Amino acid sequence: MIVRVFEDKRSLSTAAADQAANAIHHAILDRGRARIVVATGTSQLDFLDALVAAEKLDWQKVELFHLDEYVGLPITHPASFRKYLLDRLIHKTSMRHYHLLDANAAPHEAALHVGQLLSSAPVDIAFAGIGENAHLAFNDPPADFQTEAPYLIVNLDEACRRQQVGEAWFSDISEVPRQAISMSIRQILKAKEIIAVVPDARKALAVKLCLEGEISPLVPASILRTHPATTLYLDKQSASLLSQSTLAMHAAT
Amino acid sequence: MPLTAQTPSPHPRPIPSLRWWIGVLLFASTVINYIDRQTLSILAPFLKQQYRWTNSDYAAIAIAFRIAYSIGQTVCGRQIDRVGTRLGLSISVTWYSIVSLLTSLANGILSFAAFRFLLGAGESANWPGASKAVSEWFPKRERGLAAALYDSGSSVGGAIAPFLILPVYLRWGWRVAFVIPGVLGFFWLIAWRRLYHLPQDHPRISPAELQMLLDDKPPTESSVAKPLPRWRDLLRLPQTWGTIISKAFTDPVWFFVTDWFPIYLIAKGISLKSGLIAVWIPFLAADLGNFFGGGVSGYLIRRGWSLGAARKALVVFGGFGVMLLIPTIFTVNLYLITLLFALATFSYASFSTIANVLPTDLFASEAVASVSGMSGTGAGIGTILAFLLIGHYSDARQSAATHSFDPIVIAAGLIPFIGMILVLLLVRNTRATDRGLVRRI
Repeated sequence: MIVRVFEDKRSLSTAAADQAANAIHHAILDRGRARIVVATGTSQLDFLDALVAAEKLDWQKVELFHLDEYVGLPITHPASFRKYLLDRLIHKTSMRHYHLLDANAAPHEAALHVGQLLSSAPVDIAFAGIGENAHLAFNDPPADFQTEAPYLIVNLDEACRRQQVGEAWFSDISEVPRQAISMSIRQILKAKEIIAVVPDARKALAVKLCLEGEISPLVPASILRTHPATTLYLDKQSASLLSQSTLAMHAAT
Repeated sequence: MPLTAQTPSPHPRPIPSLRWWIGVLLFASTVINYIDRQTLSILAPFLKQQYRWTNSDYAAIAIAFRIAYSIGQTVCGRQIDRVGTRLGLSISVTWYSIVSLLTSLANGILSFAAFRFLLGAGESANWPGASKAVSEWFPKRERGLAAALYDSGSSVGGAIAPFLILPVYLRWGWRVAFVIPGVLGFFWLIAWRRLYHLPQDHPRISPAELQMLLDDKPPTESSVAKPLPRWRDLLRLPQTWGTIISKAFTDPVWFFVTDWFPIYLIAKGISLKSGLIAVWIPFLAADLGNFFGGGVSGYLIRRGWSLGAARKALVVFGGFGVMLLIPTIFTVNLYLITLLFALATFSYASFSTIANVLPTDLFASEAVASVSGMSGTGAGIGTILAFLLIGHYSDARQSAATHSFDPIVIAAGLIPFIGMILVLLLVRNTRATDRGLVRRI
């Protein structure tokens, strides 16, 4: 894993979007298309804005999947990840191939159906965030590192649900769904390249646990350390608790 | 010896024990040789990420080296016999140093594979060249020690490489990291050109040392060459197969350690900088294993064991010892992984020392080179197959994270064990021994 630390969220987002656009561009050159997995949430907003602004990306050759979606939340709800992706990425580009998780009506069918499409070919790039509780997608601790199924129906823990209220997607914790569809850990790790975008001070502890603690289902995102091509993008705030030796250990050139 | 004044003289002052300085030079060339080749495996995790290589892509690059290296060992040996040691090793070191420098211009899988192929071709001359130099400069009784000296350069080079390469990479990038070993080669070359001449031509050899070397030469080499044994006849002997297997079932494990270890550590979630200890200790353990293997089998023979029993004792030790790789699947603890790998490479090296002497033990001198050649080829094929499988399975199991190398490590632990069983079954005194086709062991 390579860790890159930036002055602020803006420069972080630009650099991450630069790498992402480059990876998408290379996949299209090599294989004629790019299969990408996109993360959502507050931490990804600036990054996706920067990616949409990237020049000469042929979005028509991009096929999109997403990491997760709440069970029982209509696409019209402001917190819906499908709405998020349509508004902030899909409608802003010429993207035509996308597979949204309709977890409102029939979550199990959606998980199965999109899962089959997802596992029919390799994933080129996955974007990810890391939760305040160190979750990866909606795999809250203790995460399942073994399941091979591409998507799972998971129960959301309280820390995770509180984070969603903190980010103002919901006005009260009782409104936050208790379940979600989440891409499995193993499916995420199958991506050839992972770009993890993790700004903000509220993520500092989770980042520290991920990099300096043991690799464990109790810190789901720690598994990213085993992936051969993950770049973790931090800003000064989210990196604030890391020791110098950790930063040196994961430095790029 | 006090010297009063430095007077210019047509005869430069002799260097006492000049041959050991030459031994040191050969050791240094092996060190540089290994630093050159280890540069890629140390940088592999970074290059993989930068160039978006899968492990199968990396395997293809590593195989390019192995192919050239396997072929080169046979070809370069003959060429060095033709042009002589001084020029032969000069060309070889110049060649691979330039290739290492040029590798810094590589720009993708094809150019890396091409440079690795050229590097393997050049580096393969080191061992035949060094053993020829030893035969020119050392009396028979010291040749074993001299060979052990230059051979241990491989472990020392492998152990030094991460400390030299990684800081350079982290500061200046991978292109500069390939320049360093290339430059080292040219320093070596200067020393070599100044110091290496045949004993009888050397301006600075002491008369006593020269006389000692001349006395050691056999009076006349037998000019009547015995007919070379036919391949077909050799391949009919179970002992030949036992010898081939002893190398073909052990070398791939060693090259897994030399070429894949940094990538394996990443899969265990251990960053290379914190894992340096795991990269150099197994090399030193292998070096000790070499001396252990040679030393213990010699000791057992002196204790009255038969040659065969003394050799097989080490084969059994190695066959069981390498299985210590297997428990590493249960841990991500750096120190435990290092310890288990070190014990395994120690065991591997004692097995491999025996694999290297089996041809001399078993076959008449006119067949030794043929059988060694076959076991070298067997080891090359085994390693290439192993690399293809390692690339494929580690890619396919990437999502198993810390467990993605499990089947590979289990196989690496079991294959020398299977080799051990086959060697025990095949290398025995048979009717062919009674008929004098194979030596009694």
